[in-house]
Amino acid sequence: MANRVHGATWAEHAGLTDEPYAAKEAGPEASQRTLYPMVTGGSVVAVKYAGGVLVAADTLGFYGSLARYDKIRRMEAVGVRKDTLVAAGGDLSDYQYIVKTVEARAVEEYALDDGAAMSPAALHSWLTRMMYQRRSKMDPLWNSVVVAGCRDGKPYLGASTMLGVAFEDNFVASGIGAHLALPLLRKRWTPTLTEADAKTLLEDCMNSPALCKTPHSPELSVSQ
Amino acid sequence: MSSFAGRELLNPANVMEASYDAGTTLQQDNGLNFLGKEVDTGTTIMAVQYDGGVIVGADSRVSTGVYISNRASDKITAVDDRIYCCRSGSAADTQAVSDYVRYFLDQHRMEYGQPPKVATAANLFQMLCYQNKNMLTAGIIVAGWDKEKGGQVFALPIGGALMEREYATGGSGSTYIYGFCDAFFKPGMTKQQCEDFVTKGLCHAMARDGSSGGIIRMAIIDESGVERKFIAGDKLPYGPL
Repeated sequence: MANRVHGATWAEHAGLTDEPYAAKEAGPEASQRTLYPMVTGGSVVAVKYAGGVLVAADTLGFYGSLARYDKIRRMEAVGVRKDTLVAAGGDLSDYQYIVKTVEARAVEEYALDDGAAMSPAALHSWLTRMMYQRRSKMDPLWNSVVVAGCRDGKPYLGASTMLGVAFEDNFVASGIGAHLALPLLRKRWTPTLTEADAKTLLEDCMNSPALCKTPHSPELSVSQ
Repeated sequence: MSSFAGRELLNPANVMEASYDAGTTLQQDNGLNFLGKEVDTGTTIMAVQYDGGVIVGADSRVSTGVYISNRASDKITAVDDRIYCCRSGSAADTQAVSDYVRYFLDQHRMEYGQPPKVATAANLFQMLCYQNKNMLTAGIIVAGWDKEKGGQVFALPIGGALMEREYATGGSGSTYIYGFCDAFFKPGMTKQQCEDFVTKGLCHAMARDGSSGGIIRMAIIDESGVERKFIAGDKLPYGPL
């Protein structure tokens, strides 16, 4: 049942079947190759501290300029050991698809039952490949993804954009936060940050007057 | 969206010239070429959770351009005994998607051996809406009752994101009642309070939105089943809550 639905539409995504809709004048919304973001989430800010990573994402879903949905989840603990957080700004439906794909892979790993589990760094790399592949098909996943995790006591933090650009750093921010929170983070981050300091730092970033232009309620999640 | 704005503008200079060319889009679309337009459920739909179930409500207007092609349609569609969906956007798209979901859910029910969960139906909708997001204009609200979690409401806006909510509104008319809903919604309402909230909300949206109107159709879904209610167009409860 699921395969039939997925099979048909995946072929369409890859351009292997004709699109009969394109022939009819059904309006501009009917057949677009590039997807435009619909329900979008705002900034994600994340910071490494001594012994872990802290991620903050606001919980407001925008529909254009309408603040339509409150209390949405934009970060999820994934992986067999649940030691990685995947958070994303951008289109909410694409983010939910990313989480589903990652969790499907985690289920496969669990079923293999060989003790191996994808590390946060490996997951970041895998997601980046996925984002790059989609952008190369001119059908991007409209997200800036942040992958954060802790494996064997070593914290990992990386980000991938919708174009497949990836980097790893001590602190990352996506969306408008990239412009507004990063300067603050650059000024105040130290390698010996404690968890409490990190939390204060992120709260200051999310509550900064400039970010308050689009009202949001931050939700913090700890990864240890 | 863009077609909605286009419908309202009639150019007096050529409003009487009917154009029968359904394939071309004229520079000055006189708006009376409704035969060439897609059938659109410009709509107001709402689903609200209360203690013990959900109430689902919708208006009944379906328009093709400026012509109201159906003034008493039923936008509340059953996909299972106690799971309903409200449809907004393209009438054809939403009917096709809900027919598929009904079909898959029926098969699932046979395997599952008991009434399916509302979350299952919502996930099926998401699978279809997201994978076909290029080709669909479908804003759907899924609401129902199951014995695991009681009444639940799921919002599926255009694009295919899935969100569980305490209440959800959708369709073109919903833009006019965001303030109303923010002001008057309270979690944990009784069935009667919920009913009043839904009817008032729909009524106010229908009053202001040109693409919503007709009658109010409601379905109250709880453990004992579904009760369908209907409020005639001339008895709409306009006024304060």
